[in-house]
Amino acid sequence: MKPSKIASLLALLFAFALVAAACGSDDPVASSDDSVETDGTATDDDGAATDDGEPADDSAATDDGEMSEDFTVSQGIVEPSFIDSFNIQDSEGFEVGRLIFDGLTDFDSDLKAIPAVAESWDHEDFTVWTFNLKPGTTFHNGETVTAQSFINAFTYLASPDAASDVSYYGDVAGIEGFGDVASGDATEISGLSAPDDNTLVITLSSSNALLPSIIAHPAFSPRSEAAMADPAASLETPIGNGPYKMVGPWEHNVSISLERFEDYYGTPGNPSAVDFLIFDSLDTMYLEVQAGTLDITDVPAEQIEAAAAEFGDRNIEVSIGAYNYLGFPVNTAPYDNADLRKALSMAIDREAITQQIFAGTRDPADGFYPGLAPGGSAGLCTNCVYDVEAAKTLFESAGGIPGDKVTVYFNSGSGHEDWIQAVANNWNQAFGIEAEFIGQEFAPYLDFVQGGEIDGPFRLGWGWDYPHAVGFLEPLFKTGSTDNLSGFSNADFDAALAEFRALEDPVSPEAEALIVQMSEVLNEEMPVMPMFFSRGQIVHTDRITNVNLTAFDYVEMEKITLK
Amino acid sequence: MLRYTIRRVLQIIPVFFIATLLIFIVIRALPGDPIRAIGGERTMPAATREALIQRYNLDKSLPEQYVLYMKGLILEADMGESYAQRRQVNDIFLEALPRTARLAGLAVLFQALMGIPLGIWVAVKKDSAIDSIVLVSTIFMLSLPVFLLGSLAQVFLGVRWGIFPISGVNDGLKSYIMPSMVIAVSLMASIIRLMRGSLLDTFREDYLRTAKAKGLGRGRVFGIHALRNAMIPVITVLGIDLGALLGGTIVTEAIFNIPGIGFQITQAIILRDNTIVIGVATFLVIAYMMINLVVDLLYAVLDPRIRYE
Repeated sequence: MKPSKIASLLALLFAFALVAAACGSDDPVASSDDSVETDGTATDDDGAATDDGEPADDSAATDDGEMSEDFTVSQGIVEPSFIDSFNIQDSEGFEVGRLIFDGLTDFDSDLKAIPAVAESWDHEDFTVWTFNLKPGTTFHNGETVTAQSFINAFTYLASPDAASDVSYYGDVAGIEGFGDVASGDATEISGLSAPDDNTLVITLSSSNALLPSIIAHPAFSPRSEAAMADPAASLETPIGNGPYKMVGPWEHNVSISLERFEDYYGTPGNPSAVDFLIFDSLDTMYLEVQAGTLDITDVPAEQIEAAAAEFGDRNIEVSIGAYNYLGFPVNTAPYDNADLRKALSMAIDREAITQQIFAGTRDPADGFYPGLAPGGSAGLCTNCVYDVEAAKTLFESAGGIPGDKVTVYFNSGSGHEDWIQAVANNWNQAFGIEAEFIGQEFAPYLDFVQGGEIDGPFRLGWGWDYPHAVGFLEPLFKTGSTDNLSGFSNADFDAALAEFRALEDPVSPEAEALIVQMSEVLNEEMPVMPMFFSRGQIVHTDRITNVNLTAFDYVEMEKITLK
Repeated sequence: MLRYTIRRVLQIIPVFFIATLLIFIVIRALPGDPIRAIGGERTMPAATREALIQRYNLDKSLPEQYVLYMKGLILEADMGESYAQRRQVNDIFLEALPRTARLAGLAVLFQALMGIPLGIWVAVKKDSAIDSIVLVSTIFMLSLPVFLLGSLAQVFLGVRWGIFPISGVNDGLKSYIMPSMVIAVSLMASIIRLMRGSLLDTFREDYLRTAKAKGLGRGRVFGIHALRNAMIPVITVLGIDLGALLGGTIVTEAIFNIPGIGFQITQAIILRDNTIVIGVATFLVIAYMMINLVVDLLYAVLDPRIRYE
């Protein structure tokens, strides 16, 4: 056989490997098409995106006058599940979606609802709400935003076709007839009407003073006719009405590129373009920011301390509306004894654990909701205070735990092992009991806590749906709530909650008094042990400034300026 | 050889059915409800859950689901829709596969281009200083963990010297050079050793002595008689490596942020996104069989004693 034939057959092996590569040259083409400066350092007219050397921000600064300076800001995120408004659910999706979409309302820095597309609103008994829309605002495709656009959005959110994970927001808001659409019994939500193009009337099944806060979620953003006609396209290239619009479709696992929407009705964003670059590994994201090829990143767990030293005032930490807790199966012996539940909670040295395991980047929980949540006062959990002596007394009076053994459940591989071990050590020192840990993979763990027979403390977390103390108290502790997984049920608590619901002002002394009342019930019963309040942490490059991380754990990209 | 090839290709058909069925059963046997996993720590609204279960035929029996899936796959080349991403698995696949194929192809290419000549060189220079140095280095290369080598390459070649992009896939083939070199380093070590050993074995073969005795030139003896035969095990290993790499290089893909097959399949397994797992696994079975077929055909080319009739 001739050597040339051998060579050609040898080449066949490699050719086989590269066949797929050859036909799928989509990546480089797509990125050069957009000519998007994917690393955030090069500028529009600078083709060499990988040009190392100095960041090219100086050329951007001299392009135009100071007013219309064009610059791109890039942020590293992990792949969101969805960026189309009706199904935005994770913080990444929220981060992108809030730039693309504007709802009726938004929040100010005090977490109070302020006008967005709605210029004003009014209500009758907090049950019938009338929102007056700013006339003539438009979607990115030129369509006008009308009251009907909102009705379309709410209806789609409820519909089984959409099968939205966040359709529960309709129930949180309490919109009349929302559930009928969800169950397929109706195609229109009876509680919605549009007397004219710029007036939206929302009727609730019961009074809810928190409505303006609740409907600020992107799920309640208006939906264009184009998106209604082609929902599949809308998943990839959502058409919104916010300050930024999509540049081409979502490049899955690679990037989401946005540019300033020039016909935006509100204050235009500062950056002319925002690139969300998608990473699998937080470590890589962090390295890119260290190298200056990416502007903003979250901080990987092992860099938490180093980040503060390395980035100085470019390391930003804020408390956010989320926390971790260990719940009790309150109807299962021996955890049906409130004294035992209190004892276990009081024996935990939350302060030491946050310092030693989380390097002080979480806050020891001192209440049943994070202190920054409006509506209630902070630090109301009396059993969250570390007090071994009191704990021992309670433990004895409760009769201890049979077999001196406690089984703790958690989802493995998500960084919970260490602190749960520390909690068990606290219990061992206080009561001499041994702990058995059952770590399960995420999916089977959810089956277990949401549907299984729980017979020991279990880990879960909760993030608010809307910024208010009740955004924690209601879903976690109300009788029969689907997320009340400890099985807690208390008539006094439910009564106080119902009274709160009927209040005129959710942030008032009366509201606070009721929230204190609910917290007192929880102190008596201790259905869950609040553990740590979460914090968000980001670092950014020194070419940008005005970087603000909010209590919702998103960066206000539209406010960033060049240094 | 043509008949042999056709027979081998036909063999893929039953394996395809058996493999998909097995994967189908195994993935369903894993604990963890896929619809719950999508909702995460917050309980999913009942209506949404119901809608998704119907949409993905999860209310049907396992055999029914299998038939529906195979019908879509065979009649419409439709691998179904991902539960978690609500995108066509076909689309996800066409995005991820070229990336992994580039990575794997380049890695095997580097592995062969560096490993084979080095192996030949040390075989020829057996027992010399260079032989020892290379052999000791291969042990070092084998024991270097990929994540360490990957991070080092990123910091030096990417951040410090700026030769290659630190991560991502936005610079065309250039994006793949550094990660594929990292993979190639550990794979190369085994090729060097194998090439050396295999060549030394052939040197002792009778036919080689005969060739020399016939008075053939050195180049012909070495190139055609020794080297060609010594390549057989090397080609086998290259083929196996390529097949394994196509299955996803999870660590490398994560470090260098290359959203390929490895990335998709880890995410899919965690979230119990069964349509992706089944689609990817089935493809890998077929790809592996095809690569093996090519390798087997190469045997016949390399070794005149092997004939497929």
